[in-house]
Amino acid sequence: MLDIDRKGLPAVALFSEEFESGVEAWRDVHGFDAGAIYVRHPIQPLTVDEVHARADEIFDQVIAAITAP
Amino acid sequence: MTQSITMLDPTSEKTNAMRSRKAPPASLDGLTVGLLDISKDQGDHFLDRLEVLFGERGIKVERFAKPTYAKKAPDDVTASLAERCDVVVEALAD
Amino acid sequence: MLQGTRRAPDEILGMIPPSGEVCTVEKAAINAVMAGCMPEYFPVVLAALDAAMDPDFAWQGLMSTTMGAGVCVIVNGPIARRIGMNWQHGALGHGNRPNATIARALQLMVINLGGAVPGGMDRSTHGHPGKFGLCFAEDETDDAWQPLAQSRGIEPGKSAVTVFGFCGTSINNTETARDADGLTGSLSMCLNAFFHPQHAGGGLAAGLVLSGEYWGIYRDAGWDRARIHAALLEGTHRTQAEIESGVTRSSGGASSIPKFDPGDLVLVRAGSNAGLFSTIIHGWGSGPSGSQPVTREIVP
Repeated sequence: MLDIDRKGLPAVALFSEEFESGVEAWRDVHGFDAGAIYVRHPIQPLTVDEVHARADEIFDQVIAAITAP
Repeated sequence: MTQSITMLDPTSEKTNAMRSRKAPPASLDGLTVGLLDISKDQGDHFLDRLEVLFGERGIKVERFAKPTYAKKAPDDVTASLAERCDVVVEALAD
Repeated sequence: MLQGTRRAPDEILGMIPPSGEVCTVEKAAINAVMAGCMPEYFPVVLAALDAAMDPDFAWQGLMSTTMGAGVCVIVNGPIARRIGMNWQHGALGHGNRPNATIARALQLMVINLGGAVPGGMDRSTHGHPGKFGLCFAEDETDDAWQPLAQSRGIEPGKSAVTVFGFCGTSINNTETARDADGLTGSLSMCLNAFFHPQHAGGGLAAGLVLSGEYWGIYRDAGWDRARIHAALLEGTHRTQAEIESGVTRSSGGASSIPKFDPGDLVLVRAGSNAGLFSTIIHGWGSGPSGSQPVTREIVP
């Protein structure tokens, strides 16, 4: 995420919600307020259709994260 | 008699200020969204769907992939993102 | 501790994961003191650190994975004897200072500099006792056995470390194998069960630590490291039908599927001469997309 930001690109990264505390720790260590969106856990056991449904759930958040308020 | 003791710190001994990410654009009109797959299982399906959803809104996307989620993106991947996109969506860490 | 090296305290060694914090010789020394190292172990610590920082090792991935990986350090060459390391009884366990502290020093750097706090950037689901650090020397007392470092390109007579990303150990025991073929069959069954019996097709690494008695069976049959390695790779091949009962994602239609890619099965000799045991060191994801073992010569 840092490398992409250094290239001048606004970015957001998507994580399972189980990784929120890890992202917070990473932000603190790097002093970088990375854009993050959390998707409902789990992901790995889902069917393709269920993965698509997870994407549908958070798409509005993705748009909001990559456009200025 | 006084004795001086030097204490050494095993940590980085640093605290960081928090800086913001690059500000996003006001609108995605005419811009290209880079979809970066970190190569965890299922992330490709997730990004397939995001690509469709962006397409339905008339927003142009380009797909990119890291060879492995276990290592940071190689320089050629981040360079391509910078050359061909205006904003980046990275997925999916689980 | 700094007397154990000729390198300057402020020399930068590289970045410690998962945060990527810069590590100097002095910071490494402070953490080595905390681990309980003696100055004479410090060249081993520095070589292990250098090996772990090689991009092929993917230390960052190992220190943040949900699988909960740690670093196993295997020491070869004259330095093992010089600093009093253990390759015999209980070599993988407690009771020997360099064995107990060298890998521990790396792990303390990962915690203190890298910020690998469980539930923070360390995402281990369970973790394992080896995350405290696993280090042992290889048994090089039998010339018929080619030491690990030599099999990985280090000249005889030189000291070296090999780092191996791992997710725990498991002991295997068969007291019925009496010849090299039978033992290979037995060990292959154990290796096939590791990670998951249905996993095949490469992409995972394993270390296999052979005890004195197991090595004796192979040695008496005239087998060397290369032959044992080849036989175990062959012995862990299985058919599609054997591995796919009940699986939801088919790996294709091949009739003979290898468990391991050749470079992912690492053979080591350690342990006492009584006990028909081997220990499997469970690796992590392997190959270019995962963690590959890395060997470095130890420079005094």
